[in-house]
Amino acid sequence: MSAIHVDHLTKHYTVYKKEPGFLGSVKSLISRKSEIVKAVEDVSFTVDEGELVGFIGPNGAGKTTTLKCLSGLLYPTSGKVDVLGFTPFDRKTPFLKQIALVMGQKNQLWWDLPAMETFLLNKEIYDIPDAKFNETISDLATLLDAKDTLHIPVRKLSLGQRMKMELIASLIHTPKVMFLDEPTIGLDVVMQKKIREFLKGYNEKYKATILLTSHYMGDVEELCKRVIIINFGKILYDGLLSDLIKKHAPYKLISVVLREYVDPKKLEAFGKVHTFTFPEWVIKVKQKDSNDVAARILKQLPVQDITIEDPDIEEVIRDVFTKERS
Amino acid sequence: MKRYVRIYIRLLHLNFSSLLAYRANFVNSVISSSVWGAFSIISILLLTSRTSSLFGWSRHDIIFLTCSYSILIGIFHTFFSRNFEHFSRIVDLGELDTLLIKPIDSQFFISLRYVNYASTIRIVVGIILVSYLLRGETLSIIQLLGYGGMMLFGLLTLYALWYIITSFTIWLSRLSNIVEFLFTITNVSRFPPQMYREFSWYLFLFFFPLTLIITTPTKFLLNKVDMYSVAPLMVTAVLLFIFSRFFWKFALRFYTSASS
Amino acid sequence: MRYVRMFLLQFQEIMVQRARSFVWFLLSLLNPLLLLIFWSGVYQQKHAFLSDWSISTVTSYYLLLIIASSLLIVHIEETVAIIDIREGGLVKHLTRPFSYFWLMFISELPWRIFQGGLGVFVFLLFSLLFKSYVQLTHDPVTLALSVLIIIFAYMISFIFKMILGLSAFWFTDFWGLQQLVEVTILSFAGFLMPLEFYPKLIEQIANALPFSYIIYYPIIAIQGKLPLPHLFQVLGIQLMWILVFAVIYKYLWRKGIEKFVGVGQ
Repeated sequence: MSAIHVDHLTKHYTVYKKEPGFLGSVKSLISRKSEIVKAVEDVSFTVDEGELVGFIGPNGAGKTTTLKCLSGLLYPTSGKVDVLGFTPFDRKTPFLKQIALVMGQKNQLWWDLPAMETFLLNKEIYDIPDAKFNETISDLATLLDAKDTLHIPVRKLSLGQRMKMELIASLIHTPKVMFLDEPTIGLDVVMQKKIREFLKGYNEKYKATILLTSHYMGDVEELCKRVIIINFGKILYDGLLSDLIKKHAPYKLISVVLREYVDPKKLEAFGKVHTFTFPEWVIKVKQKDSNDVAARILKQLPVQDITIEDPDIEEVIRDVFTKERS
Repeated sequence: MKRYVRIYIRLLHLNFSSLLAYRANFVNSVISSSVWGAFSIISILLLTSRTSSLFGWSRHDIIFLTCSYSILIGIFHTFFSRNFEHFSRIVDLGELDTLLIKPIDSQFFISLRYVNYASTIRIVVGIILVSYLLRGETLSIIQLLGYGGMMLFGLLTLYALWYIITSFTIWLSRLSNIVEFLFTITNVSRFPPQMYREFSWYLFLFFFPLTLIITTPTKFLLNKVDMYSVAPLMVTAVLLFIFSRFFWKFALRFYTSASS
Repeated sequence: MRYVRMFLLQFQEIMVQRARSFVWFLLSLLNPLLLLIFWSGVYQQKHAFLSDWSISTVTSYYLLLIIASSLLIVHIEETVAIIDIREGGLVKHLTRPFSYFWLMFISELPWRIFQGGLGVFVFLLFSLLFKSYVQLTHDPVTLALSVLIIIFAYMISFIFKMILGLSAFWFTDFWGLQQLVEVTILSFAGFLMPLEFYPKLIEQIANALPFSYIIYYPIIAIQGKLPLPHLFQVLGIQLMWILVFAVIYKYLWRKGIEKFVGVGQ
């Protein structure tokens, strides 16, 4: 069952340019140059119910714009979008009651009051019955480990605690589809882990479809089996994360700690040297050869420690981007 | 719909809790309201200090107009003004996105989210003054109902005008001071419409809706009502309100096409 | 030289915010115009309201009021109180080799000149269309002294508003105080009507306060309504207010900075 279906989505918008300096300002009084930005260009994909998909791309790639088109905040220039059987832009009430959009910096909590007050307001807006409301708050607060901060004024909470409250506020209505834009931005490592655990737990418990954008590899690695890589408004890759490595970076990294010094020229015989700072040495080897090469290294060199690892995802994705540019 | 009633009751509740949480703010607002209320009344007293009648209205009636203004603007400031002040922040800081995602009418939520209980002081003072000015007079039920009813239409007109003009902030997000402009131009409604008509017909037409807001309800209590007094305000109120909704939807369409 | 650059930078800012600047100007335009409409109606009934105030004199008064309110009413107190003190922006000014006072002075001046310029434009437009209604002095000595009065008026306005801004060092209720001051200025500076029209007692209070020397006296000076000795008297009183406020400012600034730095904001 597909929850989200995007068909040739395109989004362009006009931006006005002003020349710098005093004269530029005076000129802009009379006429302004405009430019068309192609934020999203012919994007198509389908997401099934319960999937957790990650959108990866650098700043300005089109991730946020795509998310906004999917949630009904932006009107597409062309193409079709279908979420849960609705056209998002119509912004019909039954549609809005089933989705949630969480954007990092934007907040909806009343500053001077406890978060619970905002929850009660959202309860009325989403028309949630009392029993369900209490149950949901309890579940979410438990999942986020935030039961004791529900009744403290928001301005007294730390950033991490506030983020948790914002999340609860956005999920009061247990949406079927969740759009998250940079959910862990600006948070410390501990909080990031907590949020990721929460999202995984939420996805499992409520079978919610989650689409998140991020440029933190940690988010993507931990949460998403499937990733969509996007840059300059176009999709560069759409598939499983594991396949990405197989397809674009079919190599493994062998990390060796040497007991004695070895001449670097000798090391080059085994494979492409990735890094060498004695006593640590990392080489890149083709995936199918990795075991053989590792065995040979153990036999022929004074090895103290050896590990075979998958390539760093960040590097892989960076490679995808650079390949696309050329 | 019952849901909207429940939402609004919750909002009233939230705003009251907010008031209790930040009492310093409340004191500030009470001082502001009282000071401006006093100023509007004292200024009209001074302006008319040497005349007994102007523009076909007696001094008593002109002062009465300003006191009615106090009541109406008190209600307006209590339920609407803060929302208009907040409006530019909604567009600038992206709060509008958070709002549009929710299954609630955006105009409703934007217009009624904040309540400024401190402004009720102007309503109270206005009522006291109006009662004082009418002491000794007997009023019929029709007069009182007419006064109240026309006040509501006046409020609707003022609200619609403010909303239409504030909607322009979507295109010109830098114009956050347009609310200050609206505060000032609302003062136009304090004076008898004849004042504008005598000066220039064009001006009168330009300010037409504003001139009706206070004068129509006031006419009920001053026994100056005739058949043709009531209809213009009612029609203007309804038409402007409908236009405000239409224009807002138009502005939203632009916002959703152009923002990033 | 750096002050000149700052001045130009502010002008650029005004261009960028041209729509906003224009709305601010409209604000100072509206009330005088409204009152002008009021008075023209009054004059239809009574042809001479007060001995030497004809409809032309009154019209010029309000037109000049537009210029005066745009040029001479400074709006720096909000920046000082909220951005610099409340939100701590003052910190970066303290480490710079500029005087905070003069920095604020230079950043406010372009706005006043711009708005004042718009006011002059409106005035000239009106003078061209309705020549008979505009009344200004033609005597060069009066004119010269009036210019001095205007400069002094600006100084009083600026220092006073800076003091008001500094109140944020001690008051959390800045907005309440600010509204109170704003209404006091509106009442006693001559915004409502020429102070001569007020009942005697209120006129006396207005003359005892500094605000009339920011708006009212510059206007009637340039209208030529003040004989020479009176002009010098106005200048004297203005100078007194400038000195008084300067002393108060210096004192409050010192005390305020002590408190600000001490609290470690």
